[in-house]
Amino acid sequence: MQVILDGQSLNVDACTVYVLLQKQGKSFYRLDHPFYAFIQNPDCPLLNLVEVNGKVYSALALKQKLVQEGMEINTESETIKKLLAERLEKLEKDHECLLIREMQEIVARDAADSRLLDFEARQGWQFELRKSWPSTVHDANKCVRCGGCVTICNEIQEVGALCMDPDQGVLIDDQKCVRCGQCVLVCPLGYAEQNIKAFVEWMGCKLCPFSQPVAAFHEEDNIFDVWEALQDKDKFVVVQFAPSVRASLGEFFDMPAGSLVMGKLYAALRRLGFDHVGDTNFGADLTIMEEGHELVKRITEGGVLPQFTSCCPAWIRYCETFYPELIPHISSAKSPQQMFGPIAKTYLAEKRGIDPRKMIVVSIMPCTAKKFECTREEMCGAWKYWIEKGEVGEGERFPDVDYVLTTRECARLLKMGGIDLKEMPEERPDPLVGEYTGAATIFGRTGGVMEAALRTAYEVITGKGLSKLEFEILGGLNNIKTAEIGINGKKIKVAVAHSLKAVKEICDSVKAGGEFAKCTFIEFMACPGGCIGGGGQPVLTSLKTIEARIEGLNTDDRHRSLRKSHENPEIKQLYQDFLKEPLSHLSHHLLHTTYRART
Amino acid sequence: MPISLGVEAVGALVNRFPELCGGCGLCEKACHKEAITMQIKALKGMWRRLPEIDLNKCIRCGYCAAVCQSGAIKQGVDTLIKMLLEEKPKYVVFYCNWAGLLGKELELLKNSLPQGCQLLRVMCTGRIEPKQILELLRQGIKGILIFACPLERCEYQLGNFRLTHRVALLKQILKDAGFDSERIEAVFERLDRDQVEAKIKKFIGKIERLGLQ
Repeated sequence: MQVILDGQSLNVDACTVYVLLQKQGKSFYRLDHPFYAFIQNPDCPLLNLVEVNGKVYSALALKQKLVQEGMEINTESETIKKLLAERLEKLEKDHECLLIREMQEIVARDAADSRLLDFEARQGWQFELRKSWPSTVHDANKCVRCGGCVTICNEIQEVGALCMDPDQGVLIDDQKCVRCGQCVLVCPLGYAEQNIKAFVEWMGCKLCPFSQPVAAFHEEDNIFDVWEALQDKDKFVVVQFAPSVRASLGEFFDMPAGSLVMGKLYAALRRLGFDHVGDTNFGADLTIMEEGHELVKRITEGGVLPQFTSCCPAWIRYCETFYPELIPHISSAKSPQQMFGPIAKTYLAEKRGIDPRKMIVVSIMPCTAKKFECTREEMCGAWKYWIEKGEVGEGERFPDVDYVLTTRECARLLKMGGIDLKEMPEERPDPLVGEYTGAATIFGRTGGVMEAALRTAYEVITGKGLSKLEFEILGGLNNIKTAEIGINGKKIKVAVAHSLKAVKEICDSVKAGGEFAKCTFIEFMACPGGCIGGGGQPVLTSLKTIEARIEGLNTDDRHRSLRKSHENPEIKQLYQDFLKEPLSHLSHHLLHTTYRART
Repeated sequence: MPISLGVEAVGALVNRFPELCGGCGLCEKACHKEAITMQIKALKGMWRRLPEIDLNKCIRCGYCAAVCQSGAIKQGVDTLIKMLLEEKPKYVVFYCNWAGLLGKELELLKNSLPQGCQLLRVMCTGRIEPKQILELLRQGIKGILIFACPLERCEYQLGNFRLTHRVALLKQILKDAGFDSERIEAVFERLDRDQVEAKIKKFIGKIERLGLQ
């Protein structure tokens, strides 16, 4: 039959338009734009366009469409060029796919039909972005006003930083906000399980970095900062990723929740161009060395008890804001992320002969509060170290950790680099700051820091190892857990709390000299379930995924040959070559910090 | 054909998967009978924000399941769609239980459908989820025709309004994704069997002219 292809009349056999284009050696029109490199879907319905009889079709649709008599096919029409330019400009501006955005509108329409908002009025909303700098952003124009975030903030976290204004939507009290990011996890615009999953599967966009919906609440986007650092040949980029990321990142690549992906992730990050691949779990082992010895010191020499853990930045901010009088209880040890940073910029830089000013430390965290933690002004131990050495000037301040990416951002970054995590080989981290023990990996779940600290502290105090390493009672899902452990014939009481509502209960009790004031050590985590339920984790985080991720981390712990932090050979080497001993002068300098009241 | 009419279980809308719930509360807002209240409850010991469904107030309209994006509230019709796809149809017709044809009439309609066309009765068209439509299209269904009650005559208050809005948005998405948006169509009229048959034939004729494989 006769068709007209780009102005040329052709006689063709019956086939689909897609096959015809292939046979004629025609390709889809492309503008010169750097974003094409990020789009992994060869049939992208947004950008692969052809005009047929005056109507725009995508590559995917043409695979189903048969050639008909007299069809006019145009691959380079003005309409297509204009459409492509518009779409690419929008993509570059918002980092969001137009089609995914439209899928989100279905939820908004449903919300309007549930009398939550006026859909027509919504189209005209022009609110400014509301920020909890540097962690989360609220786009009130997108918001469907379901109020889920407000309820979570007020009733499960009991922070009360959010409120619903009938005219303006969700308002944020920046002073109160602890940056935990639970508002991000609850926003239904980010749920990709049903409608968006069906759409993405149909269009084949699973490996596209823009295929994840961006909810009304989302994190401050640092992906492109990291991307630029990776392209800069002058920079030495070090990467670390948190314990819980290994059990959740796979969810973005079609793996079940709880799949352990650390081996694949080391390989993926290396292929993405990171110059040194480390592991925050190394920092976690180091935290236990410092925090555990601090606990032993407080117990044996008499100090403020109960000691509170300091790994969770949202909890730290919560304590500084709402319970400043309890600050002396918090361990002065930095969090694993903030221990890894200065060690990388001092010890690792020395060992590898890198100028610390040219080193960029990127961390991949399940957390939005970590973005805030790395910007705290105290977190520049490495800079101070180098000033003392006289190698760096006072005016050249650099932070210990430069960029924090959430698990969601990490998945997008990998997809931008065209990496399918599932296809990666199993690799090992680079030497010096990558080895870890089972004690470190359980940091990612509620009760983990406590268990890890007990494993080491018990051995330091008694000189004997624990007969059984697991404390099942501390690893459960209950929001408040307590246990008693006999050490040298003396019973010590410990407690674990997750979600800030539970934290509040314990803090009130300690403040009033109640039951929990008798504890020796208390672990606090702001997010439900600990880091595996953190504000930077894949949406949707439900009880099912939380349980699966916990099981993943426990499996990793059980299968490690070394399960106590002080047995980590790289930690031993670090103390031998650099820090000398836990709580030494240098480790105070680099690995301990101070807190301040924020009322 | 293994699917018989009226299989869609009326009581299939209990929140059977609280462990999947993300806690947004859209279902509570979608329920116009106030049968759903979101409560902070301990599930396996952990505090979660979960919907509590009062089955005495529930009229089984299914809007909660249609708006649920986490999969915590599911519909029986999902299973029916899976079964229906095994028949490898080319066209799917959704028919609202209250749109006019009942019992024998509907049975006759079902038996006189053109080749490759399958009929699925739903209790209300307001419970048809976009994901079901997208899934059908992905599986190679050429066209989807939905028969709903006349607007403002919904047995469950506003189900077909929800459908009009969803269909309009889906058509826009299909258009922007470079597909023929005519492939989804909704009819809001109370028609007798001959008229329904004629509508279906007309729809199929229109889709056939698009030349889909």
